[in-house]
Amino acid sequence: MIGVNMGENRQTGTREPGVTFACRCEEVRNEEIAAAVLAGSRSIDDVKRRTRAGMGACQGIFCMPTIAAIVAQATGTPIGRLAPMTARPPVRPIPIERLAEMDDGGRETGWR
Amino acid sequence: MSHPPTILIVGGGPAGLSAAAAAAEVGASVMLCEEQPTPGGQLIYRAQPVDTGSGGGAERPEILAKRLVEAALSAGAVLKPGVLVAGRYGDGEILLVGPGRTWTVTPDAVILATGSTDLPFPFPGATSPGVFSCRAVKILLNQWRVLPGRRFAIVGAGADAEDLAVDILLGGGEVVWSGIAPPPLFQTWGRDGVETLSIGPSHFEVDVIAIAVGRQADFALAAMSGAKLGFAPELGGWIPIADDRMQCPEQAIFVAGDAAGIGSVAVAMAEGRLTGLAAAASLGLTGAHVLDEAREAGGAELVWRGDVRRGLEPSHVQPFT
Repeated sequence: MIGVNMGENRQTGTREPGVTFACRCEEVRNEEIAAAVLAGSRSIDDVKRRTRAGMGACQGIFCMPTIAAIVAQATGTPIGRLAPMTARPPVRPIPIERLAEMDDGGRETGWR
Repeated sequence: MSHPPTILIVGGGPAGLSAAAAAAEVGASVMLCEEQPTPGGQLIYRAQPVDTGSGGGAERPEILAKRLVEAALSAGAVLKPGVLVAGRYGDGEILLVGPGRTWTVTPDAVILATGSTDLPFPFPGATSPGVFSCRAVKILLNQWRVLPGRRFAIVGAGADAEDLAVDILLGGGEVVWSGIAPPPLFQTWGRDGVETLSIGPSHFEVDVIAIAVGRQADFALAAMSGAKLGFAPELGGWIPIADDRMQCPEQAIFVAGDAAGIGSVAVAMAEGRLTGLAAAASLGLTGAHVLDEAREAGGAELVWRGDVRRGLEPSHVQPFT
């Protein structure tokens, strides 16, 4: 196919234009992102809510540019007009026991 | 007894370390938190000499990292390696997660020098073993001394790709193809990972495909802090919009280095220094003339970055949690 990146998995013998992952952490494929836009998503956050792309371990660091490019192309919006994925704490997954350890005291001198 | 104003610096790469030294030198109480166990940022996995913009030639990255750490420490900054700045909450409270301790601080000013991540280049089989980001190959080669394959293809062009090619050659690998890859790009992979790559009429057997298509700012903490973001393709994509004092207006948040827009190590150091002084100036520790001097000494790339930022329209202001 002209103009399409393709690959062949020689172990399974599958030749595909197509299984391209936008989000590695949650294994969301490019087509699922496009399908979310067809179903009504107009923002990167909305795509995230529909597909889970961006909800995984990296919190969207890897997939956001790809999601943005697909949403921009599919909606005809310049990419710079899209709001990037909303960032919420914590920036990395943290085990609950680390939060349970939170201490109130022991401030460095002069620090609130 | 009154204490000096407090500045938290997030990120211990060239920008953060330069900011720490500059702010501490004028009397701020500086705490720098670096997620990795060793400070240095991207310098940790660079091997080729780095131009520091000072006109004195290039410095070996490990020597430069050590010099920047020592400058920060001798100015009086406290460095906390292995401590993650995990988030910022509505009233400016910041969550720190370190080895054996989790706590919060509310600094008078915050400098975000959080650096960047590599941009993706999705294609079928990009998740098979053997496909790496540029940064990942550098970490393997330069930090861990591991050669992940014999035959490398580098997708992408520019300084990062060129630097990587030299690292691969010096590490004993072979670069069989390097360049921009418009579709159709075709690769095959088997049980052990990547096997071949075809670009146009050319066909190669490869073990590793390195993706070096650029970097993007890590702006999550800036967004959480209420900074406006704008899209600047020449600086890697979305960046926090900062004024000439490297401050995100209306927030006590300053940004420097790759986190403020992708650039060189030299500009990260210059911008870090400017930002450290600017944060200190905002707290009354130094004056505007010092900032003007730092800006002039910062070089053409620093000035250009300011021009790009000034032209940005905000694409987004995030609502607070």
